[in-house]
Amino acid sequence: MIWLLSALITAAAAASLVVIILRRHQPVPPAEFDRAVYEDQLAETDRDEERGLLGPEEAAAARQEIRRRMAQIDGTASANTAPGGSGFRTATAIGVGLLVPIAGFGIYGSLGTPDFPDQPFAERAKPPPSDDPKVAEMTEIVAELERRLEAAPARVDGWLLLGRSLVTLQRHLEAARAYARARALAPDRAEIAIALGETTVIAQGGVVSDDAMKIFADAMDLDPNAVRPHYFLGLAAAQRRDFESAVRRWTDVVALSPPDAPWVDEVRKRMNAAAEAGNIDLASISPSRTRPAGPTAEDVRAASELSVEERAEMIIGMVERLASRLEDDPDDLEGWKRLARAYRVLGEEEKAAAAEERIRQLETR
Amino acid sequence: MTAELGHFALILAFAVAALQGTLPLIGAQRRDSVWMSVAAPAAILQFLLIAVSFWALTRAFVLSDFSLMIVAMNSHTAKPLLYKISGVWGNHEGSMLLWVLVLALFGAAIAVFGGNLRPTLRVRVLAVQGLLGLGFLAFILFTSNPFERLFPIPVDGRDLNPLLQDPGLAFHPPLLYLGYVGLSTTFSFAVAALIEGQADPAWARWVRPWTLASWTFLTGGIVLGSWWAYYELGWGGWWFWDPVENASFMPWLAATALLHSAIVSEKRDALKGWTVFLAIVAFAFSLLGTFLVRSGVLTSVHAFASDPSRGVFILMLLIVSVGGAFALYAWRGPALKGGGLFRPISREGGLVLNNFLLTAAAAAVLLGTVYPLILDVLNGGKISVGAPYFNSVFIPMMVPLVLAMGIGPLLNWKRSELGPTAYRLKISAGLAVLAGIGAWLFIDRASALAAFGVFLAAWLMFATLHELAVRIHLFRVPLGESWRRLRRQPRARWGMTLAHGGLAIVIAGMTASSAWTAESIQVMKPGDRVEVGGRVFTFDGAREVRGPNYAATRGTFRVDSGGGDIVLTPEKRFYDVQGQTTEAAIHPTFLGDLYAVLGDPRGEDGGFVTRLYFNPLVPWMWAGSFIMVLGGFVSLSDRRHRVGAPGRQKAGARATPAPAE
Repeated sequence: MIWLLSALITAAAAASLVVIILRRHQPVPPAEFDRAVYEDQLAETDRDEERGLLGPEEAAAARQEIRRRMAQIDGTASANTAPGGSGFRTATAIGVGLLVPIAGFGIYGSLGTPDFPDQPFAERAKPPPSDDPKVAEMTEIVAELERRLEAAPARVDGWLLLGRSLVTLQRHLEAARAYARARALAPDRAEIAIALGETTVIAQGGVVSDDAMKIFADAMDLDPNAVRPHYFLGLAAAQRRDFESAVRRWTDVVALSPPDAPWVDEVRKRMNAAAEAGNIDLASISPSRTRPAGPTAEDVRAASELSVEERAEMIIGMVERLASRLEDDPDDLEGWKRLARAYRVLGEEEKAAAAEERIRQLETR
Repeated sequence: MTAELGHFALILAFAVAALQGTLPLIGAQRRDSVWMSVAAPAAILQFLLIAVSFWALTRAFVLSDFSLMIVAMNSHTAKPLLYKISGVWGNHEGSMLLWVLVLALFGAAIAVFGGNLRPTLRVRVLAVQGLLGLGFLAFILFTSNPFERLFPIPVDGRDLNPLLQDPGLAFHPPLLYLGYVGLSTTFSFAVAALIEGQADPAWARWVRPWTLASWTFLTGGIVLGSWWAYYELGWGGWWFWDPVENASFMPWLAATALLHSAIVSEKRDALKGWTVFLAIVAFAFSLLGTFLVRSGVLTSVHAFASDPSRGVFILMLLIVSVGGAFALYAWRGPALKGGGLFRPISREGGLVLNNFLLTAAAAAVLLGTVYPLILDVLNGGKISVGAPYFNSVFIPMMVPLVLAMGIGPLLNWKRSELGPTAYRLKISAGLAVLAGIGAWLFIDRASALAAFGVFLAAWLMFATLHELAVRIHLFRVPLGESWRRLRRQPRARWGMTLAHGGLAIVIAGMTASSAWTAESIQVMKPGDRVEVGGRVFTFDGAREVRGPNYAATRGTFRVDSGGGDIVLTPEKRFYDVQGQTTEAAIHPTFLGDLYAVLGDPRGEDGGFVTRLYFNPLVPWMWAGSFIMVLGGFVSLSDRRHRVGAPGRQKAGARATPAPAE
């Protein structure tokens, strides 16, 4: 497609020049152009005199001077002639017709990236298609949460909840933006940086970009014993074919993890592959970290991370606010519909039924 | 794919510029109409291709396509649409693309409207324009490519410098570029004239509208920049003699000089070599400005990228184009013989004085701008040349200029007499002296300089009005007749009256705001009242507000005035992605601006550091500048600039009459 379009532009460009070149030119003697300017100056002098801007004497002097200059025009200057006639024209046309595409495609070939499609944000952020009703419900809750955050943007937990919900919906790009907002509000919380880094990597198709590396490096400064920054920085190194650093990072990951952690096997596998690719003797590399006694900060975070129930509770908090608002404004049909849906999602069948009853009342009114 | 298409179009434009810069030049030398015929269509084509490219880049910004490096670096999804668009030129690569777009626009304009130019001249002008385009396109493609792609694609952009997220700045660069780059046309005309070995009145007549257009846009661009500095930087100042400001001011001084010397060249066939020289100098200043600003030699909001390879490239462009032009001037310039003779005291003489003062002023500004840089390069240590230097060097040169501006338009061509002409201005002079004494007596007895500024402004205004009165024979013929004459004044004359009168208003504004600004910095708690410049500001406290991509603290001030309170709401904004800005609140009144800035919070009880100003006559500066720009456009619309093309069908025919107004 890109090739087709660029070929079309090139053809149009070259053709517009070639057509002009092939056209027959009727030369006008250059002296005529000079004369035209002086004629115009004379006319202006006439106008100025008529308007009283110039006195008769001044006007006469000006006219005399302009006429004198007119007389000096070199009337002998020949008009342009086209040497070589039509053969020359054709040769020029062919030359120009060839040069434009050759230069265009030649330079583009070395500078351009023809296979790189546009990546407008809206397209990248498009949620994966789904006909799961749960997803539809969740999408609405997310939208509600976004509205709330619009009004109260300083709530770290709100942005975190939004981020997690978006991750669940596989909308990683937006999730990363939500985490970025949370991180801006609480820059000293390692777990937020980690979540942001992780989502960024997923949003960028598994590549650990420089941006993501910086985020993980910050997270590591904040919490040196967190496992995931080590893991992703190792991944970044491996992606940059720096296998030795990768192996070092991953050695630390294994050292920092509980021996029975579910990810240890996978990390070992990757470590071996990297060691092989980089011709590295695994035995020569010893971990630079040891697992601290007691739970790590990350363990604590994992434990304190909102469980599904807690997350639901936060949403319930929202739902309760909605419910109390509807008590004050019981005729808000849309509000009741939202409330009923929310209760259904939360499994509060009785309350949902009550809300639906109210909807029926309003609709039949 | 649009992005890649834009990239491709830019490369094609490069190829077309190469053709435009070479074939017609050779063709004109050989009087070969085939190669000459390439110039005009190539110029139009080059513009269309760059326009496609510019559209593609703009689209990428609007749609937040972060797979383009410069979009990722300078945009953000949450940014308002206007700033997504202005973000296109809020960075190095995009602004250079805008630069060549404008360059190509002027080239295309010459191709379209230049039908009345002598063919060899027109073709050579276009060829020089093509060579300039070639140089800048090469610069863009090989050192600053706006279509460089980025992988992996970042989650979101890094946002535009919040200082640049501002309506004034959205339009400042395009206007300034129209002016800066517009001077490329006069440069091309000058170089073409040197190649032709001919700079006759016809040539000067063609140069004038292009100079006028550039001057008008440049004036507008500089004023917008100054206005932005005034309200965005939050110090109430509007001109800082910052090297970046000087970079735009030097071409303006040169363009102003050129505007006036071209009149002499056209009307009197004199000063031709000088006019050609000035045309080259004016564009050289534009290029120098670009070099200073873009090379990272200077650090400011403009120094988007400090990449030495770019600086070297622009320096080479500067040396090749300007050096080449001066070499050509040295070689062919002496052939440009002047025709008309004139006495020192004459309209021509006045314009020579104008040129002398303006170029001297430009040289002084140049010295003050580059001297610290040169000293730095030579390891002479870091010095900074600031307002004291410029004020003490620049203003003394402007004083005789303004005095002469009042008399000059009344002088006759060829020979005139100073005494009687000056005597005719006795009323204007008297009124101006009265204004100066009045200012000294009733406003400020401490500052004789300010009183002198008032005198100058009044002098220029009254003398300009006097000149208009003379032209319409006011009081010498019946009023009805004067009215008829007033309406029949050519628009070019109106342009002069407006530009000179506008400058008088600007001078009044500059004088008053420099001398009599009232300022007060303090901590204010809600309910506190402070008097500044005779106005009482009441602080009503501050609250948090949320913008599209920033959070802000917004303070509220009330100022008592005759008819109800004036409310001022300055903000301190914290952008989500990068940095914070101060948004001054300004309420213009006829006598001056009420100007309030909210600083940092102090203490527990809602106190804030506040800066309050009364800036007298600042609105006059903007109004006067606007009148000057208006004068430029009015003059540009004069029919004198529409020279008829010789009819091709009837060889040796008269000029086609210009259409009636």
